[in-house]
Amino acid sequence: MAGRVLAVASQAGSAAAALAQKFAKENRAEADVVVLSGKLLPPGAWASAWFAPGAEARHAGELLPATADTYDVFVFDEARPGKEMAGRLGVRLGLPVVAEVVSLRAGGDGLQVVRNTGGGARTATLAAPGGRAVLVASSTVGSPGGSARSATPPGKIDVNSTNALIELIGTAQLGPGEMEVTEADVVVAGGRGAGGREGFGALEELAGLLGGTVGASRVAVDAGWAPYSRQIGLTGKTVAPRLYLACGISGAPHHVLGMRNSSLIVAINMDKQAPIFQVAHCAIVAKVEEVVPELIGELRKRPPKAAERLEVMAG
Amino acid sequence: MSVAVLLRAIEDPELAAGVTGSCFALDEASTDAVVLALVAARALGEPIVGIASGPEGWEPALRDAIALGIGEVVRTWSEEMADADALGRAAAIAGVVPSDARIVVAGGAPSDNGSGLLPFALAEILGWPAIEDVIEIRSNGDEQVVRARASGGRRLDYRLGGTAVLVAARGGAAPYPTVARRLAARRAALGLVSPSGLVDEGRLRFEGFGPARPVTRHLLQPQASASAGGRLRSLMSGGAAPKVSSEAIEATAGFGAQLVALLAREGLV
Repeated sequence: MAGRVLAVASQAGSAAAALAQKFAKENRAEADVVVLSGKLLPPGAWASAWFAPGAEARHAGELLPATADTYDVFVFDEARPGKEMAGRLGVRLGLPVVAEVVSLRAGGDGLQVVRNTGGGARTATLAAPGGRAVLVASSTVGSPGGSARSATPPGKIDVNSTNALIELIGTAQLGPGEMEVTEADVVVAGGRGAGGREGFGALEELAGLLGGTVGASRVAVDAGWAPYSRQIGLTGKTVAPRLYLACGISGAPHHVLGMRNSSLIVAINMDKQAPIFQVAHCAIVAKVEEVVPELIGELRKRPPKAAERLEVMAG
Repeated sequence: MSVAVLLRAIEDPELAAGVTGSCFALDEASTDAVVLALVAARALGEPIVGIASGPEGWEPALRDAIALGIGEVVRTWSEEMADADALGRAAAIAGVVPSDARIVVAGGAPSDNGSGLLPFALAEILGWPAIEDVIEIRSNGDEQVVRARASGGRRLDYRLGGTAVLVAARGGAAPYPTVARRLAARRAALGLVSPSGLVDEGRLRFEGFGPARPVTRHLLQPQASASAGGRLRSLMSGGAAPKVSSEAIEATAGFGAQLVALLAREGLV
């Protein structure tokens, strides 16, 4: 039987968890999945929580070396702080570290690891003769499924312990006008049917309430309703936010190319034949000018998203 | 006191016919690191030392870094390092970080076959904290404040109590080097240090290259009944599979509340 695997998930839809589960299934191995922080990333059926809210890479660094006798392979996500944990754990345990891992199998005298190289243009196969390694899963691996085994944490960590060398002294949430479209979790994008310059004002207000920023189709940028830095699509920027709210955007192929990997696509358009509805998870056939004010009204009744985020950060 | 910056060159075959006779160029992530190091050096009033762990062929690219404003560059290399992994290189680099360095600036994952793990391994070896996606460093008297980019448009401010490894965020705009700086960079002497007993071989064995793994998330599913125009549109949108929207909200009174309920289910509000 192949060695035991521990996946430490730092994002929803963790590729590390998916890689560990796949390895366990194909090699009759045992895999445990834990989440880094119970509050930022709630544990579900696919993971158990070892770390208290507010845990960071340095806290994980205190706990994970204690599991060296239990696990042979450690898998982390690319997302912060997965790489930091992997690099530090590799040094602590003296294990080889491989990033961009797309598949893993037990074979021969140890472990065979396949990783992306050359920006994904080809793969490279590496062997870890001892059968032990620290890995960072490529985000292309996929999402975990099924349920995780219940794993017992090797100890407790104090997330309130301070590190004299570095101290988080403040957080700030950028407004919808300051945030880059590529870094936002929520993008409220407007097109020809968004209601012109005034309509974009409403979209900005909506984006602010959702803790996101405003994007635009090429038509809206050409019309001068939004700056070029906000343009999404083949001739603009490519985004993959958690929520993409397309307001009055028809869904031309060159626009769809820039947003099709968004986790949740909600489209509002008057034309029920609009191509945007072919890639949308949620369709609203209505005028943007009717939906957006009502949505703003509903969101105003709820506590602001930004305040929630800062509370989470304060931990 | 000094600021150290990690430099890496990547192969660019188009440069083979260039004037330098080398096909290596400074990696984009290293350029971001140089830009941040220049900001740090201005804030702290300290000189910048570049550190690279690569073969002699990297030298023209390292001279480009000098032209951008790096004071001096030290290269650490031996033939045994050609097969070293990120941890081996981190150990070699740790041996040449100046003893008076307060900050080591590194780039993110290089665009060739780099892992992006080296800065964190280096931080662990040095016993220093590390901060990712750094966009700014400023000095308030005796203390340094570092601003980092986080997801969802958040910015995190850290106070440095001493030394730290900073990983620069992507997108720093490099200054255009003047002709005088370029000429000075050509004449600059590059230091070479041999790493001794620092490379741990045999932890990983390279077995071979293979084809790229598909990363397609939407499979192209052309329908037999689709028109030529429909097929073309499907191809042009990168193979995004047409799907019936999983949830349709009626445009009636209260649809705003329905939409907010949907967003709440997804954890977005």
